[in-house]
Amino acid sequence: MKSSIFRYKTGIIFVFLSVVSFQLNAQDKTTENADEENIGRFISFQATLLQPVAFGDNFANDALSQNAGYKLALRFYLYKDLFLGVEVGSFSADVENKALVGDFDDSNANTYGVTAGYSFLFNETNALDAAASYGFANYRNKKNNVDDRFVDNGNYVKLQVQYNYKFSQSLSVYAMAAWRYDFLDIDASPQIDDFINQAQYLTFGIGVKFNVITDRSKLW
Amino acid sequence: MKKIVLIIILIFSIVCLSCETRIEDNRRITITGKIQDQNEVPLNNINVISGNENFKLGNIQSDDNGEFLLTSLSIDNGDFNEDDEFVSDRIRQININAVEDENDFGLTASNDQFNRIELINTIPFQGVEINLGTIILNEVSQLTVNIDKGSFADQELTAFVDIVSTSCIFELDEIIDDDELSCETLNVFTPSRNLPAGSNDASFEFETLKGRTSVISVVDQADQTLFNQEFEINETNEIINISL
Repeated sequence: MKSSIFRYKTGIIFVFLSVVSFQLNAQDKTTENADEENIGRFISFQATLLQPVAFGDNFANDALSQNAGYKLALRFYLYKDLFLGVEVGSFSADVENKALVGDFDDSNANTYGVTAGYSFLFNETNALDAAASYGFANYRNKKNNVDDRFVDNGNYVKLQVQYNYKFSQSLSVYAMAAWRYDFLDIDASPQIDDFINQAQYLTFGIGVKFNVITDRSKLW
Repeated sequence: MKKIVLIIILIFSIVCLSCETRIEDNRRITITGKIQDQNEVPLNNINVISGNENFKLGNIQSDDNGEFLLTSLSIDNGDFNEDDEFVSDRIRQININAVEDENDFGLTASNDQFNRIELINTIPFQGVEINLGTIILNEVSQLTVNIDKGSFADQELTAFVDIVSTSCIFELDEIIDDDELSCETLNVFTPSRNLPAGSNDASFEFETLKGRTSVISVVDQADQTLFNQEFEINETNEIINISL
């Protein structure tokens, strides 16, 4: 499992370095008198405050109570409004029914993934982003009176829509909703395998997005 | 001197690291069974706990059919076998009809009308499920013995009461493939109680199994038997009055 984590982290770093390298190369060629109509974002950084809501017949819905969490994402607009990015997220959950999951007290659900999507620009101030994400998920579980957390590992997929309202070229706020499916690798008996190894969430959030503006004509 | 202190600190550090309990990543163990009394009546709300010496790993109550499916965490402490594979006993004990109290768990019955069963695991366990089959609990009686010393009031006497243990212990690996789990041969032991000189009456309480016999005897300081009789314990709250 550690090698799996390493591969994800290495992949994310590789994507990040590749795109930053491309950006630096592009910026070198940017002329000082860029046309106002041609300017566009290249990188956006967004921070989300989110509330996951678990549903379905699984441990997350039946045994845990989710608290508010956050997500940080970096998006690279590689071609027009098509973007590729990386994201990390986390929320905590309290164990409400220990009989279903084992005797521990709380959990931190973390995700590290890559995302791809498209921005639909309606007008100067309104846009809708649609994105799909895939990555690594882990639940770092804590039992009171035991020092170390123990971990349940797996992966996640996520589909997300995000409505953006633009205040300026470099600043937007947004509201988002997402469906997330976690599939874990817990070694368990067939009696509980489906229940303990999957989780589904609807996630709702609000956030702020910072755009790095550059000369669009020089980027694509 | 500093070297000695350092060596002592190092030894203590190693000892503490090796004894620290870790919970295993990415593993749950399920423990299933059906609890009923000796008349095959399902028993609900009987507490089942899995754990090690220090804490609970899982806990559940039997349902209306007497059945339970306990999801337990797994202990990560273990050692490497001859094939260099890491193995752990994972679950050290399973307590049936027991609750957790301030200092420990498993010592107090969750339903005091029935006996307790403790399963101890001392061998490496590689699986993820344990089926305990049908678990039969025996009814418990709260036995009260009242003794009227009569003409022996001025003497110091001793009373002996045969009672049957209301808990039993099994090795987990010995019963894991059995269809039925029951305390068939419960220990009989004989606690004594002192009846001091100068008092007319004495009353003692014991816990024993319902449906068994109990021999009660009273002896004086010279070990001469003043009373000896066998009683059938048939009531949940059995009261035996003895007059000497």
